Amino acid sequence: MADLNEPGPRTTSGDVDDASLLRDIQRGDRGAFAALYDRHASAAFGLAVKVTGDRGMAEEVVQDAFLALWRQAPRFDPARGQVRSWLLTIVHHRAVDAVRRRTARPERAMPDGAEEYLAAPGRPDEQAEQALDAAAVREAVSLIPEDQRRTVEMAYFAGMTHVEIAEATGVPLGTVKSRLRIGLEKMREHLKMKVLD
Amino acid sequence: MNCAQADELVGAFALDALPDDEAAAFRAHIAVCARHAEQAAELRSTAEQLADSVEPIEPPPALRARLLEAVAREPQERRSATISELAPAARAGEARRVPRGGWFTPNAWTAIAATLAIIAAVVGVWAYNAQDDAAGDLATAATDVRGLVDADGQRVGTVVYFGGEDRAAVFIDNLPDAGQGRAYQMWSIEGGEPVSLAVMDEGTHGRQVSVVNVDPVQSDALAITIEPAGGSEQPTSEPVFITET
Repeated sequence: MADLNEPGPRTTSGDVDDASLLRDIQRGDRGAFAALYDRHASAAFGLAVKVTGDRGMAEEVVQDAFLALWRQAPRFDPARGQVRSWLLTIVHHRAVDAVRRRTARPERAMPDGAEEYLAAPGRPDEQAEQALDAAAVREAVSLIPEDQRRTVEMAYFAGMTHVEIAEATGVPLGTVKSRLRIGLEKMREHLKMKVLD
Repeated sequence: MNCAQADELVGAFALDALPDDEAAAFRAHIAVCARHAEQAAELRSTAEQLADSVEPIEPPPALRARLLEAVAREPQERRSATISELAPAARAGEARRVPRGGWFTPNAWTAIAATLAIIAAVVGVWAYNAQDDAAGDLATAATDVRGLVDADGQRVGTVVYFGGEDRAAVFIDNLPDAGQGRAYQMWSIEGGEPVSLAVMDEGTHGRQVSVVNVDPVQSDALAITIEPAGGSEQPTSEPVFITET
């Protein structure tokens, strides 16, 4: 039996519970929604605080994201992706949006994370990757060479475009592009090796 | 965009780090390039895992209370089936009927909306088929009306079934251009299998009225996909529009 005080699923078996919670949420079960919130709210809030750097703004982001999940749950197919990834994708996109609005950076349409996720093709290899806990993901990220890791993190956590990263760092645009790609590819390889361990 | 350019940009795309114009060009490329579509999906899935590298922070309890209060007032979206959902049921040999009736719920407003749609549909059929003597018969023979929705569940048109004629009129309010070398293809989902009904010409866009041959009893849903111009044997993509269930 999983420890209910532990935030978020730590194993793939934990996600079986997410899928059944989602099925109940699809039928309008608010108790199941509260249970899903309790499992993932800390991860969602941690991510929103990291991106926005502002707890008040992060609270709004998390509330909007969970409300979007509630509204759109009937359209989510658990066979095509994990509830936790979907939720964190919504949180991430909304947090980046909130920061971009605050800093009035040149407007760039950030796709609604929820729609993007619902529209995307299935994620066949995600099941294996998700078996990793947060510590393993952090380790995989730490193994990416510094220059590439920082570039990837500027794009993901600061929501910067390749052009903005190039301007901010003075690194040529072509180098930024290749760092983003190679950085992600390395992270992917490290995560795969973690699964095999 | 060619493959060499897509190679350069795939990481930035996966991280949503492309300006809008480049992102649009990249999307257009992966609509026709399976290799980069797959690579972009893989790297996007990897990028999404960066969310798990962050230390969790316990949110204030007031947030939970606010959220549960908001959820009690917030209606959920209705669900529309997709081909990938309908097809596995058939392969498993289960006779699965898609439940009908979203349109005919016992609600005065939906009843009024349905009536208006039939009137609009009849006028549309007349306009489309003005020289066809059969139009009058068709117009009086509507047996069912269903909404046509996009992937977000937004209404984009109406399908009027003429059961006695085994025909349906498909009205689309404002069809976007499918893109160069691409065309819309209409399918009837029957027993979980897509059956091609019609392929639209490349470049078709704007308000569209099409009459297709379909038996409403056999057909669980109508779906529209974007295919290479000239059409495909089987759908090669998820539907962009589908009838409401």
